[in-house]
Amino acid sequence: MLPSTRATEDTARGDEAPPAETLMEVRDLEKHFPLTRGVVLARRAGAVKAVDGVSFEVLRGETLGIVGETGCGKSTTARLMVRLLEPTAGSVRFEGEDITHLKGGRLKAVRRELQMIFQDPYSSLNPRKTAGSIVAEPFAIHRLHTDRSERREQVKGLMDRVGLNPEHYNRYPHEFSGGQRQRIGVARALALGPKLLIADEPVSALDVSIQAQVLNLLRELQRDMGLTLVLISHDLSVVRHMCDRVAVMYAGKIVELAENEALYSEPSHPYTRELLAAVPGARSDRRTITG
Amino acid sequence: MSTVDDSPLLRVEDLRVEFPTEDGVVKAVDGITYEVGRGRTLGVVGESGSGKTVTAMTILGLTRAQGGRITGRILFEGRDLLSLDEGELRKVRGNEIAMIFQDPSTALHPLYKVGAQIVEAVRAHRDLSKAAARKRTIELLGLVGIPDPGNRVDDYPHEFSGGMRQRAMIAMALANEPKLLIADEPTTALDVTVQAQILALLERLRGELGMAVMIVTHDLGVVAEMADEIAVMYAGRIVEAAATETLLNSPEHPYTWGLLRSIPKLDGPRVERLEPIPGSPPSLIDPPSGCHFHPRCEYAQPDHARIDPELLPLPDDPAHKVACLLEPKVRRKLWEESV
Repeated sequence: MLPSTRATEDTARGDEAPPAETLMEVRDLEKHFPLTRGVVLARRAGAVKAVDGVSFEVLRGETLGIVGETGCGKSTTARLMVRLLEPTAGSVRFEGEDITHLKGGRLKAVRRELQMIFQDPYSSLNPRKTAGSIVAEPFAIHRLHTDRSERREQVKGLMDRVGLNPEHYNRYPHEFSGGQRQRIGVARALALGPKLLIADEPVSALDVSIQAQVLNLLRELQRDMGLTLVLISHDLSVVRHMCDRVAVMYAGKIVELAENEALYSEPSHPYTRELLAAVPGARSDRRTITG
Repeated sequence: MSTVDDSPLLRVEDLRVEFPTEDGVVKAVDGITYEVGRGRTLGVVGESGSGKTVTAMTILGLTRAQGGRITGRILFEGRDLLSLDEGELRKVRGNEIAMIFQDPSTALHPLYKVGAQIVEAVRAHRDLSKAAARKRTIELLGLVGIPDPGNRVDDYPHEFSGGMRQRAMIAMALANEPKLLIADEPTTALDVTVQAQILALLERLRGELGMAVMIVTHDLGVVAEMADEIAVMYAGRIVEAAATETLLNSPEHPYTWGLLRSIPKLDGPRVERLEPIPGSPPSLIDPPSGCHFHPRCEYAQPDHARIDPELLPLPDDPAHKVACLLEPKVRRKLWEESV
């Protein structure tokens, strides 16, 4: 089933770019969710292999795309990378350090470097907190900028950075549009100055005209702040636009990992070819969207 | 459009749908006119809140119960559906006009077998025995590509995958061979490979059964593939309508330009930045004056905030209609410069 996983080492290094440095290394990662039967005397009746032996590297400064359909394990992979889930087996190394089993203070320190943006800007923000206090929450958790007015200035700076009006500091999430809410999520993720930002379907809940605004913002931030970005999406054209390298997942495994151009011009795995052919509007010349 | 009968299958004239709410009156549909020809596919494209779904639901009288104030005319084979009472409309709904919805997992009743739900749709409009209706149901499930329909007819919805549920919904909609099928975001909840299968199925059935299709979606890729004509909606109005190729290759409305530019492409050179439409869609309670799009339009002139643009045919292509206050010459120049 998986003969054609291209080696990351071969494709990672561009011709003229300085040798790329590995920021995160994922080795043989597995996450199995047990299935149980019976309510009172629950017994194990097998497992869902959501992530089933995945290995790849994230290079410093790149945008890595992970694409696949529902249930392929892409979101579980993301959650394993930031230690929101405990893997069944395998390891995650960040800047050379094995973070797979970190606990307590050390884990908290690493989490400052790894931040996540979620799909749904409606459910990922606490409706009873103001935009300002949502963005300031990472400061509270990590006891940074404890001086009130300083913290406020920091938050306003972040809001400004992601294109929100800092005067809307005291507004509640319901007063913002979907695109603006996603910007609040981005500002919160940036608060601690992370090195790696993982965006799980960041634009799929947004209208097309708003999608482009958020994608442009992520690109600018990456360029200006030297972020490394992992973008998880089911949308092949979004991934093509954003990413340097792309991993295609199917049934818990990476079936193909290649440079962007190579993947879209000469997909080597049959599943990748099927995915690309399935995108509406991409099939016949006459009906291809131009503009 | 059609050769034998000149009258369109469906003609919607100056349709307005308003919903009174605590915050004010929501003008969901603000005076739209369009036609669907026999056997043709119309794609209605718009973002959330553009009024595209309300338009579709109003055709079937599904916005009446929500206290919508509806004016205008909806002529189906010359008969005004808005003048029908609920009983008369019920004879049309699911029979001559059928609808499939976005989310196949909520549109099927979880406690009834899939087959029983389709049997119900068949028997609602036809005087068939239970056995005959069941036979017809198995036939329909086969038609929409459910494998082993004789056994799957007795499955419950949870035993079907998302794609199979949407196929079952389509089977139900086809039960009485409608002349018009309204599909509201039929593939939005589905994965891309399943989406391709469902779109191919709709295309095949349209050819085999000769029905007209109105497909409502936010996805320009879907209408590019399916539709003969496209109508673009913005803030309750149609801002541009044309044959599919014309609309995609020489669009005239700045909003259509914005939509086309803001989508990342699967082919061609990769661009550094997408060109988004600035701002966000307006409130329908208090929409902008004049051209509803003027606050987000980079070409807007001061008087565009006062004058309501009409949806007018282009002089050299009457099938291409645009509601824009810019001079046609100016528009064409702007578009050609940007390509």
